[in-house]
Amino acid sequence: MAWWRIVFSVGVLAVLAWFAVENPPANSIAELHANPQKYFGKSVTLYVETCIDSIAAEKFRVREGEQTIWVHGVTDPAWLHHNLSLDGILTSDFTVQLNRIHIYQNRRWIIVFSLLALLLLFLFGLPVLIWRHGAFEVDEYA
Amino acid sequence: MPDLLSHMAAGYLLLAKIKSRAWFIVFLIGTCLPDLVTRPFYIIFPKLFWIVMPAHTPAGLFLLCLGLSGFFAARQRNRVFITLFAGCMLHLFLDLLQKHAHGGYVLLFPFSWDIFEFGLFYSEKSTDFLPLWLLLAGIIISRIKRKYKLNEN
Repeated sequence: MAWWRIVFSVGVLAVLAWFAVENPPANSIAELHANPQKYFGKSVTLYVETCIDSIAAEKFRVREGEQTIWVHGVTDPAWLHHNLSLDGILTSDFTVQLNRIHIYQNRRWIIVFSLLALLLLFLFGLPVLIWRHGAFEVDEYA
Repeated sequence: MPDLLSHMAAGYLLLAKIKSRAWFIVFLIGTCLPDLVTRPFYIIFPKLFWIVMPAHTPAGLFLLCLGLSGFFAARQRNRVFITLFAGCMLHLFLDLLQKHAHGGYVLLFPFSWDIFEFGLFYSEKSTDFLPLWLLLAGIIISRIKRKYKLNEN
């Protein structure tokens, strides 16, 4: 095995992860929490992996990782826990006035098909990877 | 994101270019890798979102494939890296075809957070295209099998 490749890649990936955590992009709830003054009255977008985790009267809460924010707008209770992407204006009470939203449907089917793909890969893919002389090999004769 | 079955089926478009079945399977693993190393983790543990997010960018995938190739025998290491990375790039290309209310994918991370996408369809529409992808994959597989049979004869 090439230990330098493994250690180098893990090390740099860890640095990239730290960078992403410490410097989230402008279209993230984390950044809005970190620098709210910068975005009051301005158009903000929320990152594609946010999901609706709570619904109240004429507003709903979206979650991105461990960060949340309330959004003024009417939403269907059926959309609870659905992923979405949206943009709107950040108001001074730290809520987002909704402008545009897209709810991702068929999430369950995407997960089902993805798990099916993984099962096929496991059944047909594993036999081509063999362990020999202290390292993996692609069994070209499989 | 398109589902993993769509990502793998799209990989069959390149089946003819990868003559070895074993190496083609390595390529298919690459087509699944970006989602495999990110989504299960932050779906189950949302706090991990920004930690795993770099693994769904070209720079992160380059490092990931480099690290994974290190587990292989020396004579195959570079080919494993190239094959896995090619699969990952096909995955990212398919992801770029999607559109969002306002969003996209970060291609230049960590140098820039600028997002980009071609914006052709919403991600959930991939399940509508799945029969087409599977049909195309089936046609390609049968044509290649027939070609190998002719060559054997």
